[in-house]
Amino acid sequence: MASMDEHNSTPGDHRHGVGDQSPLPLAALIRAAADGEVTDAEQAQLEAASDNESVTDRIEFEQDLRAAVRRHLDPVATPADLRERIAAALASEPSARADDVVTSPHGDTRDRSFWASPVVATLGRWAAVAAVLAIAATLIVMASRSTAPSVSTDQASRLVGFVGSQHASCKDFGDHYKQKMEWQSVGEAHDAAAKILDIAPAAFHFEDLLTAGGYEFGGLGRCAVPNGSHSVHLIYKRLSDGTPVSLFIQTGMAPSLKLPKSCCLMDCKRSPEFATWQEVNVRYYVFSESPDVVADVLTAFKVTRDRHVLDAE
Amino acid sequence: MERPEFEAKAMEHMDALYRMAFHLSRRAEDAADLVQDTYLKALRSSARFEERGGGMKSWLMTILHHTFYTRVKRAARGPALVEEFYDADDRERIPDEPPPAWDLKSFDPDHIDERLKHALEELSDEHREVLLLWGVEGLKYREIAEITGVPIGTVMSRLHRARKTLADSLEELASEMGLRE
Repeated sequence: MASMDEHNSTPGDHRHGVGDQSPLPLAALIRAAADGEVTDAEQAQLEAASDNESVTDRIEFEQDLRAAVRRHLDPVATPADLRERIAAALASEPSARADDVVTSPHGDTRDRSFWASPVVATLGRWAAVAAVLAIAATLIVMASRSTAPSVSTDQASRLVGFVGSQHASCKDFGDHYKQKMEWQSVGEAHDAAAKILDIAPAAFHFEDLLTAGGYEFGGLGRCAVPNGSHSVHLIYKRLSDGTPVSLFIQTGMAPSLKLPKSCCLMDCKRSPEFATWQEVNVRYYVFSESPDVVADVLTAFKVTRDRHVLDAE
Repeated sequence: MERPEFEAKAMEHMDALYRMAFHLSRRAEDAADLVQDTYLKALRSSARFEERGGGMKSWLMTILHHTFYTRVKRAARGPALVEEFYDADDRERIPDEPPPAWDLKSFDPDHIDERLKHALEELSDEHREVLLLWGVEGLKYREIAEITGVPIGTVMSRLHRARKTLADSLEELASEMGLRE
């Protein structure tokens, strides 16, 4: 923080713009004095320039004005869920700090004389080739048997938690829904989403199929799904029984997002049903209490059934 | 600083960041997005924070400022407007018109708030931002200059114009109340 001492030690510190060190005008001096930002020389200039009583009143006016501005601008309530949302976003972010990279201080000092000998080197080459082939064969067998993608379970759980909480806050179509879902007509929602996500309106080809499948569009609002720059939240309702389903569309995914691009269904212990997949540079997330509603959405999107089933707490 | 400690210290300033984001973007959802982006960027460049030194709050506010104006530029599909504003502000001299000398305390705070509300809505993002940093966060000119990336003279110039706009609106109130001719 710049103290008055710092200002006193740097008289004429370019306050009028680059290279201009002429004295401050009286009005600026009064305001700087009210803010406690005048140097001794400026204070003397202020006292010499006008009668003190008028200057004192004007300084007092400025100080009262500052208090009024504070009173008026200060009471902005931070949303109750913002701390949790940011904590989730931070937790899903790998550290970029250099000191998190573990390096061996002895890496270049290992004695390699035995392994560098000609005989061992020749034998070693054949042994290495055999080992590589064995490992490759093992990996191929393992990959062919495995259905689990290489994804961070923690990251998946946080995503499920985020979209689940967003869905829960809107699924009753109550006050929060009304506040969040700014666009409630399909056409306006598509235009808004295309603008927010910077994608073509044609990306919303699924809408007709969802409508034909017995779903009614409920609204679209902004949101901030972790690990991406832009995202929107759409909510629908199955007309036959009113079951709500949330769809989140995200663009600008961070490299830290490690979900597979093909359809990925979460086997949630705490949450009902969650699916996510990616088409080119757009990622989709679906969330509903009903597995068959999620299945309907996947059908509308013509998502391939190359599914991964994941565990999420 | 270890990552958990860094995150904990950064989160202490969330209310101030949200307040700044809200007054800049004027929309709750945009403000929340802005704050989230700010924290993610801060985490990704946390090593730079330690190299730079200084306060966590002003560093976070600097990131938020740049994030907001990057969005503004992107939305305007061209970077010229903000830069032109900075240049224009730097060229302009601070007009020499002193503030009023009458007693603001003689007014009903509700009346003042009503006038301030309208006057604040007329201010540009840049003027509202310096007013917030000055009035609510209580920052010094030098700190505001660091956050907004402009010279101290530009900060004073913006503050002067913003305060004059508010004072003018309160002058009208004073006239209506018969306290001024």
